Amino acid sequence: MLRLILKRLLLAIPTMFAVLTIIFLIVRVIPGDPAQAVLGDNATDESLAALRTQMGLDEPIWKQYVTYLGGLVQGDLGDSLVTRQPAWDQIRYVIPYTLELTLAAILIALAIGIPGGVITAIRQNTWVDYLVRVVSLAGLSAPAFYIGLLLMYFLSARAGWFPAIGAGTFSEPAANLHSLVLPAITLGLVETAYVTRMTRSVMLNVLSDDYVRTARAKGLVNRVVMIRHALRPAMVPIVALTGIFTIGLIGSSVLTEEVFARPGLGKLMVGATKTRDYNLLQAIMVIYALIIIIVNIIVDIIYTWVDPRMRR
Amino acid sequence: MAATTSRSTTGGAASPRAPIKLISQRQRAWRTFSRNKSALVGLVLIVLIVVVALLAPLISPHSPMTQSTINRLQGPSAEHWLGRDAFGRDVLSRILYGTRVALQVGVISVVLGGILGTTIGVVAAYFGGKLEAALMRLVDIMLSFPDLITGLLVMAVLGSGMDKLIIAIALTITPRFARIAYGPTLGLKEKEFVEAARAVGQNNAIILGKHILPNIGGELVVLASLWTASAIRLEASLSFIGLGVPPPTATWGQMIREGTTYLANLPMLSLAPGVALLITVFAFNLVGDGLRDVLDPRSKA
Repeated sequence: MLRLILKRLLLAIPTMFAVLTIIFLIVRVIPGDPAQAVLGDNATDESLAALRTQMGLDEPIWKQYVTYLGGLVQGDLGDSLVTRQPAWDQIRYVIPYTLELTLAAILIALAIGIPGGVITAIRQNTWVDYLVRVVSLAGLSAPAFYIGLLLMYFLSARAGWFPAIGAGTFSEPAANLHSLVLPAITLGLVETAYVTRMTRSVMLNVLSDDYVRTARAKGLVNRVVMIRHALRPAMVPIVALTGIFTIGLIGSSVLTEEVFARPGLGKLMVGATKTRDYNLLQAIMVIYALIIIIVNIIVDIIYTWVDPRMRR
Repeated sequence: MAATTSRSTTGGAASPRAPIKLISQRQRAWRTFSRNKSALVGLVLIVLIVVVALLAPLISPHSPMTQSTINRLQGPSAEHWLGRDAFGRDVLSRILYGTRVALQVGVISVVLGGILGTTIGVVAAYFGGKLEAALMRLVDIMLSFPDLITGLLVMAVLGSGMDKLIIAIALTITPRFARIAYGPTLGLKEKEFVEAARAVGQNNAIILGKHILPNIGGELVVLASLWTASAIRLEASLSFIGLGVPPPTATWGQMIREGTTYLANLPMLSLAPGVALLITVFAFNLVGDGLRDVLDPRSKA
């Protein structure tokens, strides 16, 4: 298992390298002067030139690239253009908030989505199936911010059960969890729609396999067939696809954090985009790339663990 | 994949079949599609939405732009069915006009991204070699980032505006088309008819245009419907964040954002445009789902 993890990590290095290069190029080469962005349109030419020198922008592009990669290797993500503090400081502060939100959402999605998918697969083409399919398609159509707003209106503004915005602090776990409920449901419902649909189609595939028919022919109780013969093999693609949806979840988490004014990686990125803080933006992109690669590795590992055939 | 005749056997059990009648592929596709009631509902909805977009100036009860500070922030009334926003503008009229931006951005970005992505996918598959490796690697990396993150990054670099928004969304769609165009082309370029075309001396451009593209075109057009749904959703999301079409143009995402401040007292300001957005995205998804069943009869099993 350790060898597998190491192998995957080694394989990830060229990918990470390519991603870093692309991010670097997007942020540097495309028009738009970061110095101008920091100082605004009224900045004098002298102050612009001074800042450019300070930021290393007048160096040749390859030298900037080497400096940038060199910094990253040493764990230096660069300084924010706005606060002039290390970007990592801001990122480190928000990551736990994004993490708790994402984990809670995944739990909700698996808890509702897998049973939902299994039931619709078993009751294929009945009204339950149609209902769940239409609802999950509606869930796919609704952007996270809209689901969030609906929950906020009914459960917070009207019912007053949950705080509408903010995330509390980790030093007060009760308040923190209380603030987590609505955002987690929001993000969880988006993910649930994906998990339900995917589980349904995976189950339908498995149910038409020969060994399931054999199990039925042997006279096994339906429940046993479903759980031992159908759901277990179905778990492999379900796990893999859940990992992939988790990456998709990042996009929705940006919107969720924006609606509920929660601190988080997504909200930080939106802020960096608006203030044109290219360095912070670049640092956040590097973190996102890392997260995506790590999730992929985790999916690979779980895959191997669930399906012994992959252990090679 | 597109031109098989053995599809009828995938139906499974030996059902008593009517005497074989020859129907064209297009007829069969329409039959499968129209038997799917939800897809038909989606199609009807899309037609209605397009009509609303075209007739917005005629059917809107008020101007979407006229401000009235004295009458700002009013709830629904007989004169203003959905109330007035923070600038005193009629919410219903702004929703109707918002249809135009949503459709425009959605359709244009899918067309642009579709053309660019298809070109990349077909060229990569057809010519192979280092070009293929480089292009598809790039496509995979782009695909691994969520749409919204890519969109945000591009908007950060380009700045706001409708043209830039379209470019940003088109770029998120490009790798998807590239992936879908890539696979079938790989198979097609080995087929006899392509070899024959090459043997009679047709050049690559003609082979790509006349022999490869028509064979994957149907699939791409069909999937464009699904991507239009996500393009419209992405447009609304970026506008909601405040990085879309700049005000005062009426867009659903922007209206929802502005309305959140008054959510407790005037929920219609943000919830009503959200319903319009939801219906539109839902309609395109319904049609996309139905079309996917036409393409892949097994998936509806």
